[in-house]
Amino acid sequence: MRRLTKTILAAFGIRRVREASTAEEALEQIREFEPDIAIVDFLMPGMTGLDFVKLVRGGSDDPMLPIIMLTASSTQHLVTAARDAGVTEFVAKPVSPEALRRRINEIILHPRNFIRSATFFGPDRRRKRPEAVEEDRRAATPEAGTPEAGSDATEAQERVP
Amino acid sequence: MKRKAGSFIRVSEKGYTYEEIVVADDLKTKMERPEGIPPDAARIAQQAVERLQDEFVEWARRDIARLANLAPELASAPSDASLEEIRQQARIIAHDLRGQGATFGYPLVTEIATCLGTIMRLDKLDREMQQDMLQTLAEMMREVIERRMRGDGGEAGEKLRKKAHRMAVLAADPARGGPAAGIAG
Repeated sequence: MRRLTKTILAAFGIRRVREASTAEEALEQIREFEPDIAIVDFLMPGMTGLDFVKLVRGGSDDPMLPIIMLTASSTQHLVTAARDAGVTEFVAKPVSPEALRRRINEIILHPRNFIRSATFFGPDRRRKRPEAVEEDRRAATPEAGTPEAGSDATEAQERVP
Repeated sequence: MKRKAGSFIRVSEKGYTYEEIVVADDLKTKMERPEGIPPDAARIAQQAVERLQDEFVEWARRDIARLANLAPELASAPSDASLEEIRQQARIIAHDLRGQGATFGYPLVTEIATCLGTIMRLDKLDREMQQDMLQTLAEMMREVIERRMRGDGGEAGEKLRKKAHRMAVLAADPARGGPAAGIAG
């Protein structure tokens, strides 16, 4: 599966790709290689892709890393479990280059906000108008540039419509 | 935190407070084109995938041979832990075949591997029955690959498909006829 994915990514012009055959290796790669996007299979040696996503969200160096999960099953149960684990996007198998292109573009062009609550940390999978997301981004990014590490650029007490 | 552009504290309609973290959209700046990966790239990628088809036959042969080799190990596993490890290996190989078969024009491999994955998840299934099914399904996938049964495989493909599904049903509920009745069909 990795070879296939790598072939597709190469055709997309994405050359800097690292592979990992286990979850441990993948976590190591996240630390050292600092990828922009991770593509994981639902089933991997040693643990499920969902457990891996939970590890990334819960205790890695890059908890907001966009993660695309490749899965042969798209049952409601799996979709709910994946959403709860913090998967960013899905691609159903058999993997088509077009499906993968769309999901990667989604991550690049319309990155999902993240939600942190008492019981959940992961991408906001609610459907939002792209303009609303852009408004949030403008409001949250200070004019001077990047917010200081560890501080919130903007804090507002709002009621979600 | 990496990728964080800022955040809001919000209150949901039900009264729960949560933080909404705005993710920086700096991946756009790494792209050559502002519209992201162009549709044309998917067509080029599809051609690249098609060129891999012959290689897939080789990968599939290797994976199927590995599955067939796991069958006797299933029967002789010395402990429950090693038995589960063998099942897990079989599940991962089956999963890989399942994922790639249809991509490379062999949906029958995908279907048979799906049935195998289901059977390998049944930890209460009689070991010999599981071994027998693993061997039979590996042999069926080998047939698909060696006879280059692309697409639905015609009448022969339909037979294999039905047989694989019948095995998965029987494995889940052996009382419905037993393995001999199912596999022979």
